[in-house]
Formats: sequence, structure tokens, C-alpha cells
Amino acid sequence: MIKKIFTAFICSSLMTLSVYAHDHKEGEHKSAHGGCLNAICECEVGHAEVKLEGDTLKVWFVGGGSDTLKAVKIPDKELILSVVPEGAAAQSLILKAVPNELSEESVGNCSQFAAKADFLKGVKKFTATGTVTFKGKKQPLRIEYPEGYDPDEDEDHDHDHKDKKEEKK
Amino acid sequence: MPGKIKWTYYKKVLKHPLVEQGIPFISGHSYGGFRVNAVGDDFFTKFEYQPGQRFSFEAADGGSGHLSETKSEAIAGAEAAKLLGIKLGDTFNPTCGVNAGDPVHKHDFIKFVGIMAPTGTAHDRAIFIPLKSFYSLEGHGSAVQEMADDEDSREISGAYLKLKHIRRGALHPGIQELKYDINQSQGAQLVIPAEVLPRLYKIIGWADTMISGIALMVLGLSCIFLFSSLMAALRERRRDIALFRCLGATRRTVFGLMLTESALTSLFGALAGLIPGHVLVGIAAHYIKIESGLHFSPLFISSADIWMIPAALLLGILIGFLPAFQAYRLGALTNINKEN
Repeated sequence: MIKKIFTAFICSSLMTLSVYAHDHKEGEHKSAHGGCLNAICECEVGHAEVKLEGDTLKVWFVGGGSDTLKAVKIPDKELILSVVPEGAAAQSLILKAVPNELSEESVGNCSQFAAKADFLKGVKKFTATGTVTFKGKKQPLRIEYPEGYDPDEDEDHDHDHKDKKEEKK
Repeated sequence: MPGKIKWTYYKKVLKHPLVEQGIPFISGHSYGGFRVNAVGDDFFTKFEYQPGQRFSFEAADGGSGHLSETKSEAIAGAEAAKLLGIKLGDTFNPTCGVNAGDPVHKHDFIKFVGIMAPTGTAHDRAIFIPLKSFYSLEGHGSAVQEMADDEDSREISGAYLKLKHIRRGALHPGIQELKYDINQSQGAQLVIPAEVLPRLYKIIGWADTMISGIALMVLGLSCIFLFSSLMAALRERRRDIALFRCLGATRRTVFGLMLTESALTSLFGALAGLIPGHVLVGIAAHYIKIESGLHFSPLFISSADIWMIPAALLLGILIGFLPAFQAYRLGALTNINKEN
């Protein structure tokens, strides 16, 4: 009897330990500013992190795959986006390069862009399209806010592109 | 060269609204196997090595001397001073590097004017010189010496930053953006210990889980052994218990005796485990202190230690319940004549 109890105890202990050993999460995309990540071309190429604060739209260009905390400098001085707020007509929006001093950026070598517009006030959801010179190539840019855009969305691609703050709401 | 971070860049970081204070430092020198770090003037007066705790030179705390007043004055950490036999007024020549055979600044004599009180941190194992002393050391050449006065060319190895906190001591959420901005630059990186340490613990956490698992297995084994030894003792003592009953002991007395035996065995086992456990911590603490300067006291009683006593008692009572119940049911007349 004692032998059986002992064997059962050892087995359950080892099973618990092996469960602990294999309990790890697969890598997730992280956004540095709490915005939503929109893949450029495809997820491994890069992302545009987008955040809407009141009437200001901010875009940070970051790396692909797990490099979403690494900025990608853009040679464009401005970005022209066609923004379609939910239930409203398309509007053109020009985002200017906002060089960050601590990131040692300058206009023409900048990863952060921003624009202010009255029509953005109170917008909860929008899509936007445009082009950007990303990693030396002119790439189409598509933004889906607040979900994030991911052209590779399929069964092998289950990580999160959503705005973390929106998710909490 | 002293470091990678430009002084001008450091000044820009200091201007950020989330940065309350900065203390620059330069590393890369040594003396007698201990690091010689050049630090900003605020290091000894404003830097908190633990929340609310600053360096002390008070004799009552175990320190002596005073802060550096000139460029050729140094302060020794408590452990470094003890192991190198440093006394106030002694002079030394720093080594330009941290490896054996690195050149020594033969013409630069720096006098020890202070010995810090022990802090129980790695700072005890270092020697500190004023930041400007570093640039003016003779062997560094004119390019480095110019950095003493020319802020545009000046470089540092790093800086301790005091960042703004919000309520309950939590870091301001904007810190993440500051970290992102700094980490995009070529020459600097912002590291937040409060973030790095949990990640480190996560990496080495499996060892902790393993040890906890082994401890649980040992605990389980101990319970099984205690239970089986109580059962064996009950079998061997059937006649004694029957005799005891015949002499007037009630069933409840016999039940209580078995339960007490089990609880006391478990309690003494726990106490006997605590003592060698703390002795082991004492031995390990000695080597950790030699390697890292960190101080662990074997006399520290954690809440786990305190909770272990009632937990062991409770476990002993639970394990002893079945043997005690069997003793309770033991017939006095049927067992009085039984041999073991």
C-alpha cells in the first residue's frame, strides 16, 4: 500500500514539475507606446504603431517580427494618408516627421510622425491608407485602428496587434 | 576613452520631464582587484543605494573620514577598505584597466580621505574618485584631459537616473516611452532594474520551482515516513496501550497521547530542519559576500520560517489522526496478552 502511495506521489510530483517546465508563452508583439501595430507589407518586414490621442494621430515605424520595440528610420519628410473614420467620408491627412532628440533623429531620418486634425476628435475606429519609404522601398501602408492590420492573419499567426488601452476598455 | 555616452547627450536626458536627477559615472579603472569608479559629486549625498538609505561616513555606522574635497582624494567601500587594509591618509595609484598587467598610473597618487559605512551592496567592494579626477589622470593623454573642461567632447560610461514615480511608488507610465526613445540612440541604453530583475528571475525561476518541487517531495516523503513509523509504533505498543487502559487511562487519553507524539515529532523535525538550513545560508552568504559584496544574514527570520512552526504542528496532527484513532479503538482486554 505504502509503495503504491509513494509511486503515485512521485509520478504526480514529476508531472507537476514537467508542466511547470513547459509552461511558457509564445512571443508576442509588444508596442512601445501602447498603440496598435499595423504590419507593413507583411508582419516580418515591419510595423506602423498607431495611437490616436484626442485630435492627434501619432505613428511610429518599428521593426518586424519581434523587433517591434526597435525604431525604423524613414527618409520621408511627411506622410499623406487617406483616413476613413467609421461611418464618415475619407479625408486626407498629412503627418509630419517629429524627430525625437533622445533617439538622435532628424527630419529625413525619423521614425515618428504626427498630425492634428479636428475630424479626428471623438473617432473610435478608422482605416487609413498611404505609402511610405520603408527599409529602402516604397511600401503600401494600411492602418486599421484600433484592431491593427495584419495581412498574414491566418492559423499560423495568432499574436496580438491590438491597442492595449483599447483592449482594456 | 572613458565611455560611450556623450556628456551633451546625458544633459539632454536630464532635461526630460520624467528624469528627476542624474549621477554620472565612469568605470574601467581598478586597484588591488577592486573597481575604481569615478562618480559625480551627488553620488555620496543624494544617491539612495536602498530606498531612503544614503551612504554614511559616521563612526557609529562603521564609516570614517569625509567626502572628497579635491580631485586627488578617494573614498573606499567598507569591504574594499577591509580587504586591502586601507587606512585614512593612505595613497594609491589606480590601474588603467581591470585586468592583470594593465598599465598603472604611476604618477597619479590619490589619497583615501573616507571609508564608507558597510551597505551590504556591491558598493562596498569599490573605490570612488571624483568624476573630474578621471579626466585629469596623467596617463590619459590630452584628448581625455580636455574632457575635464570641454563639455562637448566629454564622455561618461553611464549614469544613475532617478525617474519620476506616481502614487504608491510605481514608476510613471511615460517611462516606457523614455526607454524607447533612449534605446533607439546609438550610444546609450536605458535599463530599469525593476523590469530587468523580474525577467532574470523568470529565466532562473525554473531552478526555484525545481527546488520547491524537491522540497515538496521531501515533505511528502517525511509525511509518509512519519505515518508509517506511527503505525509501526502502534503495532509494537498494543500491549503497553492495553495495559495503560487497564490502569485507568481513558480512550481519549490514548488518542491524545498518539496525536501529541505525532505533532511533537513533526515540530521537532521542523526545528531540526530550520537550524541546518540557516547554517547553510550562513556558509553560502560568506562566499556570496566575497564574490559580490552582497550581505545575507543567516539570522534573518522570514515569515516562512515563522509559519513553518504552526504548519508543522498542524501537519503532525493530521498525520497522527489515523494512528491515534486506531489507538482509540484498541480493545484493552483483547490486546493485554498479545506479544509484539
